[in-house]
Amino acid sequence: MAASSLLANIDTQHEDQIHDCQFDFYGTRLATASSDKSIRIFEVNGEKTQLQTKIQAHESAVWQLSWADPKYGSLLASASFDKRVLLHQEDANGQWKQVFCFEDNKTSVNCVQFAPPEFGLILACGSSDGQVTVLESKSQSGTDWEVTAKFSALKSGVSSLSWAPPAESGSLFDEPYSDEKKKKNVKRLVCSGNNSTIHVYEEEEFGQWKLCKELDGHKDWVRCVAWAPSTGRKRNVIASCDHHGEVRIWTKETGADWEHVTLQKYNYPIWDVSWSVTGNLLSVSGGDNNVTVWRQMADGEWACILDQGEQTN
Amino acid sequence: MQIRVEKLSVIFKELSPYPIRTNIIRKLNLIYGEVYNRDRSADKVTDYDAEWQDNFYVDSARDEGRKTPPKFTQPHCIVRFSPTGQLVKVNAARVDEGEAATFELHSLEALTANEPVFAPGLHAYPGPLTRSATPKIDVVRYCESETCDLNEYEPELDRQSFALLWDLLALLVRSNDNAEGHDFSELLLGELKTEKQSDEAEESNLEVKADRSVINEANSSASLRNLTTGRGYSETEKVNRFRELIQYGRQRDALEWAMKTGIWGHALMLSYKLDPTQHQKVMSRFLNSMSAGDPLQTAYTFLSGRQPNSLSQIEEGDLGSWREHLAMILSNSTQNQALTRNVYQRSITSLGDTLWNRGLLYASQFCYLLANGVKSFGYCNRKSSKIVLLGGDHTQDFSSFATLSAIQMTEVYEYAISLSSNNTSKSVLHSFQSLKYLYATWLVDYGLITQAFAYLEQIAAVVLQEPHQYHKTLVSRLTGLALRLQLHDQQRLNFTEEASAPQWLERLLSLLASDSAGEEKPTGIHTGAENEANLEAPALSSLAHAISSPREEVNEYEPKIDQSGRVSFSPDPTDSAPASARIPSRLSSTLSEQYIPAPHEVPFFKMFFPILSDPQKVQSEKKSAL
Repeated sequence: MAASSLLANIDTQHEDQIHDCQFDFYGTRLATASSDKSIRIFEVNGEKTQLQTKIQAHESAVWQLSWADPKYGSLLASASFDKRVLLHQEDANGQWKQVFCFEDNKTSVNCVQFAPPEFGLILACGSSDGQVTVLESKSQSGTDWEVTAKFSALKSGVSSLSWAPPAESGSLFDEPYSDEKKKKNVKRLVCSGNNSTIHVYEEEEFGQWKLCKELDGHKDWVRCVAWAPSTGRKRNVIASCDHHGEVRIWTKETGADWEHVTLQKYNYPIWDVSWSVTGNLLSVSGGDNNVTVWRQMADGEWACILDQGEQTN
Repeated sequence: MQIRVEKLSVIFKELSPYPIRTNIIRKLNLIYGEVYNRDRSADKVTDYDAEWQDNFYVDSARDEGRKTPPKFTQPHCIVRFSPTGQLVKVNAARVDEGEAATFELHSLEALTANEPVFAPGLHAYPGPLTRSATPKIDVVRYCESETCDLNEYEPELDRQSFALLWDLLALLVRSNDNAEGHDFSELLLGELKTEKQSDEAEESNLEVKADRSVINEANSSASLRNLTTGRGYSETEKVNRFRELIQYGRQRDALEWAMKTGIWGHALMLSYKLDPTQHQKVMSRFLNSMSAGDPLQTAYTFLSGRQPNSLSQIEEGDLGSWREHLAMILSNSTQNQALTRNVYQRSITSLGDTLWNRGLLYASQFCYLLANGVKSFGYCNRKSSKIVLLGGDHTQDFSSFATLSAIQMTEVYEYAISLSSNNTSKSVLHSFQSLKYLYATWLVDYGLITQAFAYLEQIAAVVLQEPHQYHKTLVSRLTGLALRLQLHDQQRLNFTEEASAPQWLERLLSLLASDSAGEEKPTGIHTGAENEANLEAPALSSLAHAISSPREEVNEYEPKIDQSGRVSFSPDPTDSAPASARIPSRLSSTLSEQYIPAPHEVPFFKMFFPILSDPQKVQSEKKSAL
């Protein structure tokens, strides 16, 4: 990436590898999770980005973080190798406290993500024994959580999961109908596993999740899966990447089935795929510091708009 | 201490076989507590398969002997997009070898500045175009620059029409949407003249030859006069015979003779004086005698109140002629307004249809704009919509239709009609607002956040005027995106400055809240927990809920130093701002039970969560608190 685009180069002072970083809703804070068992929260302000808080609450590597929607306050969930999901909340004085600990998992919890706020205060976590647990905070305060569903998703372990954006009542670009029927807003999740498959689950009735689609085709451990935020058009897009180096985009138009396109086949593992807020840009990071950003062009083909090749380590 | 342990473990790694190594390391961990060492096969960079089986995390005693594969065993980079136009890249660093765990913050705008497809168009365009803020000259200049920048993939003829369309937009902007028919004709014919001049030189040679042959023929066939067909007579001879016929009272025959021989002046004069039916007949025959495709015929037909045939019968080889015909109609439409208005619209619309069927998109849109203006616009999913985007064919696949230049073109048109001094309420393109929203998301993608936010404001202004005209999804997405972006420039502001959520955003939120107040609630245990004071939270209104529920405010903030050494500032305790903009610091804690606590310590954060959409309740709470 060009030197001119660099706003800040911050040393997190983590003592070990960083495994996840997540922006909060407004993009003003960045939380990083590391193998050194700590979570650090930075205040993002261009060159003046600086460390705000350090949370040392886990007993081993923290794999993933997720921020809740700001209407629930400053609430952060973290999933760790120590089999726990912790909820941290910032109080009025800016102090972070652990407000909940979910310990029911039998193995490392690899992923955690809050559901879209339209569904309430809900989060899902997936662990290495293939269990996906969905928890909900009835009082919406983030301090009391109840397990609403627990199902076995992928036998070999869940490496990553992603919530679908809530279904919209129509394409943004169509004429609004005055007698539109409000469709039931169904919760959907996509999980990726160590056995190269991707499963899409749907909550049919409260607490009952059903596998609605199995997306096959990857040849190796699917590292990361991400459901794109809605762009306003009536379709669903999921990006997935595997250890073998393949990145796929799965698209489902309304009424049609899932179709996939191989975005690119690299010869190094791809660790992570991540969508921009608008759902138009996809970042792919793999190997040693290889980052590319992709965008779908007018003809429907995906094109790489940014490419940062191998940097010397 | 830590360093020493690490060095020891490194030594052990090198010397000892695996199982012994881990035991020693484990013991070291137990001794020194915090520090742990991970076994890394640092050299196996390319051998990714089954690596994890060899690398077990040996943490504290609790995790001793864990067999679960760790999620990551190698340094890996992470990239995330921020909602406000930044990109963070966490570098894959080998921290235990001494590299620092760093992340880089990049400006998305700078990163994407060199992207060839979208970025140039996004940067060059002076959007959003507002009547109040955008100077006309910028827009006109932009239109002119677009005519130079022609798409090479269009068919030749349509490329000219593309330039023509931009010229039309420039004209509309310059004239504040007040241009007359002849202004448009000038536009249409202006280019044709230059073409004709180059063609004329070629044709003149041919014409000379043709004339000669006619003269020769006339000379040779002087004796072959034909009374029936009228051939072979000179002008004067024709008139003489005409005169003769009338003198003998044979008016009908005279008319026939006149029509046959083409002395139309006399024919029309006589028939006009004789009787209207005759006159009509003469006029129609006159029209029919003109060569098809003669723009004069178009003009006369139009002025007679009928739709000219030429508009639906454009010859394949002569597609450019549409401009002449259209110019005829435009220049002659001001006479007899009442008579011709209807015909005007129908004629030009049908010309537009003809051109569209021939694949000339821009030309057809030019016609539609002149025929019906704003009313030609419609939605994508309606077959009857003539135009959805200027410069875009909505029957095509969505991505190829909703292009950057099409949206920009349509926005210029929207701007042009907004300049008009009359009918401001009718000059709104309803279907366009969603596409403007799409454009705003592209701006966000390319890091142009301020511009994107300005666009959202523009769209909100239009939507709030007639909310029922717009798709609910548009309102909710507009609000959602605006909420996310609203802090984009806070990062550049000194944190002590306070700002309030923009008025338009608050109005959108209350619109959402009132919209979904009557909707059914989704299933889920949380619905049971809602009490009355809470805003109902069915799916679409959750955003409104988010913002309408104020945070628990600590009544007093003490300036304190936090870990990073910054001092936080206390809000003004005497602040009694109106309910709409800011939450006064004295907001009663009785509200807090229902609402989620913990605002950020920085004062401005609370500004983005205005009071409940029920102002009366707030007022009463405030009173009880104060």
